Amino acid sequence: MLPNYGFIGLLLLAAVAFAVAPLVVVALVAPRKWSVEKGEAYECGVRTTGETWVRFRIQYYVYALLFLVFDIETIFLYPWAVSYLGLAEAGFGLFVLVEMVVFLVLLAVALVFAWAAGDLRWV
Amino acid sequence: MPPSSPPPIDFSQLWALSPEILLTLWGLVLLLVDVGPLRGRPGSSRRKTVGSLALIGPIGVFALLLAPLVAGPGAGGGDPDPTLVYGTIAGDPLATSFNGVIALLLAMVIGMSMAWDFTEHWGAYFALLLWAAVGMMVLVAAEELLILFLALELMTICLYLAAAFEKDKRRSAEAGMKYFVYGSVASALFLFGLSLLYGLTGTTFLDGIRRVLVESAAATGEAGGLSGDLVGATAVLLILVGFGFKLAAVPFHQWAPDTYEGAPAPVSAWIASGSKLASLVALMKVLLHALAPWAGAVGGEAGGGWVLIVAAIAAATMTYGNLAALAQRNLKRMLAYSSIAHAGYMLVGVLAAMVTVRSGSSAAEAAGAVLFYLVIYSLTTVGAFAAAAWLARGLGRDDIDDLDGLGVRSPGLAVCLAILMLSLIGLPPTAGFVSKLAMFLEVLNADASARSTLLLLVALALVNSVISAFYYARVLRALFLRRSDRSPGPAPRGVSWPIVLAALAAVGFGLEPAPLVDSMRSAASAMLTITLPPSPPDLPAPAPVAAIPVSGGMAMQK
Repeated sequence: MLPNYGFIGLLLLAAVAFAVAPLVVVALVAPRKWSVEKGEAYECGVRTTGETWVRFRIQYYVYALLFLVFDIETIFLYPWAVSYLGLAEAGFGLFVLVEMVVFLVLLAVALVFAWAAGDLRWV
Repeated sequence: MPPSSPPPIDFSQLWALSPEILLTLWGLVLLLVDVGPLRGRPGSSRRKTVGSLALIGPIGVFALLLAPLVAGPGAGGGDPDPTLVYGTIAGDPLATSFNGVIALLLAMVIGMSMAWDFTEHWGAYFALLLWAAVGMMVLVAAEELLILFLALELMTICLYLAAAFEKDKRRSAEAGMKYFVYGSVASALFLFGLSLLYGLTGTTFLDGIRRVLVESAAATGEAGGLSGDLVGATAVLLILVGFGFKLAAVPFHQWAPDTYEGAPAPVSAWIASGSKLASLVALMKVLLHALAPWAGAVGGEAGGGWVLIVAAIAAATMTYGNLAALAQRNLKRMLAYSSIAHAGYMLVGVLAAMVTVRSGSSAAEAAGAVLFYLVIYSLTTVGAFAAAAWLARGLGRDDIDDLDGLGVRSPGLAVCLAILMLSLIGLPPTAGFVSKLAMFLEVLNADASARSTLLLLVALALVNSVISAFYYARVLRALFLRRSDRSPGPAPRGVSWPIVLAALAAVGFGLEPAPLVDSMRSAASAMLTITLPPSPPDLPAPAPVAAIPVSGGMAMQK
């Protein structure tokens, strides 16, 4: 048991070291010069206008959620498509196809719902 | 899954899953109906239409459950295969009867939801109720850890959302948020416990876990229990955290009062009844079946096991729940503490079932008594929450004082509510009394070494029942002994029929408990005896990587 977990422990140490090392190096060698511009909030290089603590429209989140749904769909579809032929040869073809159709139909209903509920209209 | 053999999937097995499939699809239909044909209609009209449509879901489940009975054995349903879909889901009497119970509770909750306008999004709301029911049904039937976890998440994620549905009330948002934060942490710990269990046994099937544990106990020659097995003890503790959260058992109960009070009354009812019902059945499956070899002894001289942990949780839960309920003024909050207390009673029953399972005599009787108690508790609690829905509709608030004078204004419903309170206390001739009696009498069947500890727990439970009489009686006092100018008005139909139905069940099963007790007993025996075929073709032998921790665990025991 221990050797197996030992590898995980080594990996953990390596990961922590990988993340901490650049910070340590920067702290040691980087020059520090403070200026007003550097203290401002960063907005893709554009000069900041107004308050930084503005409220976002809740619509942003609806869009983000819908995007996420279809992002996940792609992530799921791709390995499915890659392994489909092998599964079909093993005799799982119909089963796997039905599974994917069920998944896609569920997502399609979600999209239709969001559309019909007016969530896709930017107001 | 490795496609090593031709697929044994049998599409006729889907018949056994038809209630779940029906409710899933019907939830989608409700979503689309609400934004499609009903678009632009005022909220209260959509509430009535979508709510009535939603009722078709549980009614359809009843039809599907009754169809094999009407068509005769062998027609449609085929033989009752105990394990479906690669042995991950059980199609046994337990799943069938609890599908019926869950559908009944769902119908009552939908009825209560139609009482007043607490939201605008009726399609999404009713769909969430239906999908939570799907999660409960799968949870009750799950025979494998991953399916169990997925079902648990499906159920609770729907309930997180539903708890926050009364958007113009801050308390509702708070309820959803607290439920979500506590729940996600508990789920993460639960999942970690399951992964440890998988690492130790090399399988995720409940029956497979039992078999591996029995074999390793036989190999080391120990009587079982967890002494010295640090990883196993951690796994059991983490799994108990997950289940303790769902059952609102002390010390994982803090979310319950705030969530029950803040959420709309139908959602609180659904969390208190359906969620607790399904989680307790899953807990019994995991503890009594899969982890039974780790139970340990109660008497004390042998090695410890989860029995002692569960005994401590049960004692703390029922005492804390009852004492805290004494101080409550809000009806839903009082019911929350009452449901905590009842979780404690049920855990005592689980212990009794475990000890009798081990002595081998009347395993199914004890577990069946717990299931009976669970069903009666769920029905009466939903009825009691319907009173809160009534108050919220009429007065916009739901304190116990708001019940004042209802005994004069609506005597029929007040009598029904009184019956429900008597049943929750556990007074004859209600079903609450019979179920408590049946569950605690099973303790006498426990083997001699365990009897003293269990009798101590039962004595504590009886003292607690006496304490609980005080706060339930406050509801009775408000109903019958007080007068008030403010009245919630006559009860709408959606509130009155759940109350009447629950009261009828409480009296009916109190006078004639035999049919329900028998069916629960057969369900329990199905739950405890379910086995996978000795070497199922689709169940791969434990991989060598997974087998290493088993030997490591045994080495640690020595």
